[in-house]
Amino acid sequence: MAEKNYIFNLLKPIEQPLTSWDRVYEWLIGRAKIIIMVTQAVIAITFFAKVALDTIAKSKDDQIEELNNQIILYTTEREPRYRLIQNKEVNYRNMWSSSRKVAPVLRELYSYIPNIGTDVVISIIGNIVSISTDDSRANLDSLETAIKSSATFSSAGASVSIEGEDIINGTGKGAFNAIIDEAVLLRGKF
Amino acid sequence: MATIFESSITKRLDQYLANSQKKSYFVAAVTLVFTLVIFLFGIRPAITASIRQYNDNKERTDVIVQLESKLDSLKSLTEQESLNADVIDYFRFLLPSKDRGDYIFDELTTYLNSNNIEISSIQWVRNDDQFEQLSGFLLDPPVVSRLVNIQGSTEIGDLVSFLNIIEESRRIYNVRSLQIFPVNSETLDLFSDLKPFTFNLEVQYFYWNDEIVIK
Repeated sequence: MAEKNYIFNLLKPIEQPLTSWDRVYEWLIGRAKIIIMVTQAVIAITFFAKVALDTIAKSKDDQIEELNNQIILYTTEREPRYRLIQNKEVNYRNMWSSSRKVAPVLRELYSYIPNIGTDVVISIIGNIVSISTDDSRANLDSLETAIKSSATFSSAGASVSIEGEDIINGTGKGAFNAIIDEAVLLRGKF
Repeated sequence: MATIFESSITKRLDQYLANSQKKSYFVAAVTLVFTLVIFLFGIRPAITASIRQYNDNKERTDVIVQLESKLDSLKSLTEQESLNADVIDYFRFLLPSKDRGDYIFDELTTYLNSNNIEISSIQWVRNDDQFEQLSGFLLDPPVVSRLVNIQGSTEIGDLVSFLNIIEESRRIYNVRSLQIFPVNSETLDLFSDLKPFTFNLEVQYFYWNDEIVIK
């Protein structure tokens, strides 16, 4: 069994055992110091960043104010005028597309009447057209067929009456009415 | 008393820290709490303030972009207005700010005369309260319509030509109703210069009442 040698150095000072507060102090200048330094670095960086951001904010505020001042020059006088023109233009387009044109309808109707000089009364009110005429029965039949087969008119109705001399003359009184198709009647897009 | 209390805590802490494992846990816990406190009261407020400022600046940038865009639009509109002054004036003439019945009368009589239509009468019909029924479409309140009744005699071709002109005209005329009657053949025989048809035409025209403001 090996004999253990103990060496005593009586000159070496014997250190006092560390108290709790000594340990806290050691901790503070050890690990905590790193945390504090990192925090200081972060706060310093953030401070400079904040200064830069504040400067940018100030410059942007100045820019906004300058732009607002420029815009005020326009908005007080010119903008209401432009808006008025814009509103008028929108309504004008609306009126244009919704207003009626009866010339093509009239042209088509008279193309179905062989003898324009005959007693033909034509009435167009809104989108309803009414025709009353005295003519030969052949012409009345032809007019009825034309109106009923035309794409311009829908819901066409016809009544032909034959009285007295009409029987001998081969004539009759015809009354027709129909609804004019909107695609033909309205002007459509500007 | 306080000294006795302090020494008691110190004694207990020393006893607790005598065990190296417990000492490690204690240091770790204190370090963690310290880091947390530093983060909560030091780093977080500083970073939050910077982020808030950054976001505010982003909003400012958006506002600047919008204002610049508006300013550009206004400048462009001003330029367009001066370039198209003639067109705008013409548009104001087509849709005037008040009822210009005199223009309408002149225009209609010119078109009627140029198409050899004999005018019997031109009358303005009051239609303020029947606007929608008359026009068949809804318009913004500043648009006001007036109704003109025209009676005359004509050839069918001339009437169609006249209608064609007003319907193609940039000033909007909306034909509300039209009735065409043939003239009695005996009357035609008596008066050779008579036109073979008479007509009754109701036409709407429009103007923009500036006194009515759209909200």
